[in-house]
Amino acid sequence: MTPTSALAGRRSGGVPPRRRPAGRLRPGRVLAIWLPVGLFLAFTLLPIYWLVVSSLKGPVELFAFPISYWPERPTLANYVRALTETRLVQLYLNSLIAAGGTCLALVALMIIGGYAMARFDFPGRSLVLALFLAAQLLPPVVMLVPVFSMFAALGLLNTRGALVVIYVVTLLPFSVMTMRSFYAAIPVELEEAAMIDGCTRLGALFRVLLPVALPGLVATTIYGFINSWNELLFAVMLVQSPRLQTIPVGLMSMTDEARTEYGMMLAIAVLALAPSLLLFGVIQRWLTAGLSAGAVKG
Amino acid sequence: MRRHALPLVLIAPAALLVGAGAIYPIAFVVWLSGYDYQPYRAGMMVRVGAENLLRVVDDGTFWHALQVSAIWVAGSVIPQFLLGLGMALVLNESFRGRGLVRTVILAPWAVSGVVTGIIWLWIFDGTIGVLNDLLLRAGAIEFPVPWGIHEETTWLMVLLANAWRGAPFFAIVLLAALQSIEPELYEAAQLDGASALRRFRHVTLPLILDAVVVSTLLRALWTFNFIDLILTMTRGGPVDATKTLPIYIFDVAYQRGEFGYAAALSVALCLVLAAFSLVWWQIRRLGGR
Repeated sequence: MTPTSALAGRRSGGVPPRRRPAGRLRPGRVLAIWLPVGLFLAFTLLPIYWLVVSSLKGPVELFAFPISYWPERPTLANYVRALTETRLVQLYLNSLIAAGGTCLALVALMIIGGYAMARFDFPGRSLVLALFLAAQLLPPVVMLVPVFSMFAALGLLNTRGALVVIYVVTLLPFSVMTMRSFYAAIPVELEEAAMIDGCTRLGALFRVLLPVALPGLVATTIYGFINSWNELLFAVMLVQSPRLQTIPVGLMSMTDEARTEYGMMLAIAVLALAPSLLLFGVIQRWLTAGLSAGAVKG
Repeated sequence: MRRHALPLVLIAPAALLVGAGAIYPIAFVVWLSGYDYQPYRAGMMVRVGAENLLRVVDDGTFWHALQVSAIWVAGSVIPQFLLGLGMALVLNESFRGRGLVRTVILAPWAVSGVVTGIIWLWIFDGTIGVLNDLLLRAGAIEFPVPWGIHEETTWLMVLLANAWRGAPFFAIVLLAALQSIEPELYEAAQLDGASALRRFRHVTLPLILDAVVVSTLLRALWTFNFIDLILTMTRGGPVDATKTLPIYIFDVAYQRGEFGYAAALSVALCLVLAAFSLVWWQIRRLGGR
């Protein structure tokens, strides 16, 4: 809300000051850049600030009115209780296994699949392209019933493998195509030189091409990790035994619980948020630099 | 022959997985939409033909869910686009600390729908939420507002939360588009005496128009299908007020276990999305002249 009004204010915000010879902090620059920057930062950060601060309050302070904007007596009690009294560790582990397993499979498949799409023109190539495009446009909720039935027939329901398989399937098109674009940016001469020196084609891929494309591989893998770490729909549907559930599923069910448990829920939300934010910091530059419009998902 | 063998072998695992895991379900959904199938109950598959699809047309909840979806998509994409455009325009300027500011502003993109929901539920809490506290202190309200009970305030809550999480998507895409514009174009426009607003209207906008059209379409489709946030914040309530079509399908499949009918609703959903995309492209083609 605030940033939109900031933009409006920028337009109507009084008469713009007369152009002055280069000063350090010209009022026009403050109005055009620093004011919106400040508002955008506030809009982004305040909700996260409020989550973290609230998770550090004890049960009494959390529900005291009027509320305090800084924890008077910061405590880790919510975190300790979440770790000892809930199945947080189990949830965390399940999420790690699902996201980690997904990334391992993705890495293997996109290294070779992206290479095929980047360096070869083979019969059926356009068919594969169409397949990947269609798969990316497929609504997850439409896949729900068929995937459930298919996994039931395969005996995959309520297994650790279920989420890995479906996450790999949904993330593969994006990953392969992104990897393809990273390979494509590398000159072919590099491999040709290696092959003249006696490398096989696959040898050239792994010894010459891949090391150059490594940053892209890491970024794409992290993208896959964040997406599977956050996923809810398939996690709810395909894994119903509490022992195997992931963090988003556990967190969502906590919103139904008693208000006295809110402190713990906020603490778990912070712990669920931390890996995504840290990893986002790692790939942020790559996201803004090289990603085409069609590629980014929500 | 050998030349063609290697790439086929390399792409085969990915292509087969995607084909089996994503394309096969579509065929299955279309086929299943002709059956009455409730695996949790009898588990009998009864062929009903077009009856399921006729039932969709007669289903008041379906049409209601479609209207709710329209509010959800329009109320999400429009503010997210405007916010994201503002972010991208600011981040495209050069100023001290821009790299850090960019990382922070774009960060909500990585936050899951569930965590976003919890953050904003807590802010909008009906009794001790920070928003109520701020409004009370400012004297704007006399009593705490139970945001999650009324339809309008629930929409405000859900759409604001979604804007927080979704604006960075547009910022990322539009920033990439802005950065591909040659700076010389702006210098030329400036030399000609064009004001900032005119430079935006006549230089920036035409050059990022394609990115705008593609990103808003993709975002609309994606938002339509995005149910994590609503599921966390309202479960579709109060009284179905925020029950979008995907949430309705999720309910029919997951809560009621009516797989056949859920498949029929899924077919209807695909038709709606295809029609929407077609119309969008037509508008783009007409507007592009």
